[in-house]
Amino acid sequence: MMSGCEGIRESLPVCTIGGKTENFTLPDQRIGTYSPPMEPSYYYGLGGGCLIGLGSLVALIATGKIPGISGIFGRLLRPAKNDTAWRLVFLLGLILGALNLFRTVEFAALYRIPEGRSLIVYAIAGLLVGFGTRIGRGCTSGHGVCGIGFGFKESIVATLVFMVAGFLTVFLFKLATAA
Amino acid sequence: MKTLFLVFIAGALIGAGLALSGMTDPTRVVDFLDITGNWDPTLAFVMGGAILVFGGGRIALRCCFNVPTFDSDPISKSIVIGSAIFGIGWGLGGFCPGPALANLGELRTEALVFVPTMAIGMFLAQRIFKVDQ
Repeated sequence: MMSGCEGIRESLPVCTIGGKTENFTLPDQRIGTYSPPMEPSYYYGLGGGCLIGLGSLVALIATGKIPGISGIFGRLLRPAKNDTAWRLVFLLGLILGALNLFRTVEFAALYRIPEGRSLIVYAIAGLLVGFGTRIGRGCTSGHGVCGIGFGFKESIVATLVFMVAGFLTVFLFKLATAA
Repeated sequence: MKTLFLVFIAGALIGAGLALSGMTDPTRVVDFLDITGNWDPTLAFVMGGAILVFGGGRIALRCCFNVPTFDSDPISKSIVIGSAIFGIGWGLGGFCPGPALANLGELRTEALVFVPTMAIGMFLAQRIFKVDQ
């Protein structure tokens, strides 16, 4: 990854981090070599990730079940007795918790649709995600966070598989839309 | 009642975390998966933080709470195939279930399309392959 600064633009150093070029304000307006340690989004990611881990921990202790989001949502479609209310309350909390951040934190409010993704693409993506997470018994949260947090080998395999499938899909989608 | 309260707090923490971490922004997720392009590693920090807190917490909290344990499942063909199908959908839209649901509150069109078709996909998997019995 490239990281460093050269030149000035509008009297600020121009820095290239991870291939992105941005202006940076230095505390003393010094011009020269400057390597910011991390992109701001990494801190948001780490902080948000810790909240996700904490919430998953609370749900684990409260319900005694592995709190994977695809499972919590999916099992609403096959309701067992006395097993629906907590799932709805969890999803309500998830939606309101996110909405609160969208309205208060500028970074959280970012919402950009990637190039070439129509609503038809989203409809197909939804089908595949729904189908795949139930056959595969977990998603990014159930396998990627909770399963790996438990050290389950099948969750490590599942996470590697959906990541590689995601890498390939994005690569092929780029090729297909560029053509 | 206590369970419902705790589950609400858990959901709110996870929803807030998904939004704060930028995972509700489909482009940030797709940029993580775009390893041959303008790669954005933010998602790795999200997963790292979440795994550390969850994995560390479930061990540390054994002192004072009844933290359940589970047996590991065998690596089955269905886990591999299902995860591959999920990964394809993830790469197409940049949505996994949590972020898609989290975007519903803002009534974002893509989430309003994605969540119902996700439910249909889950329903089909449950009916055809008898999962979630």
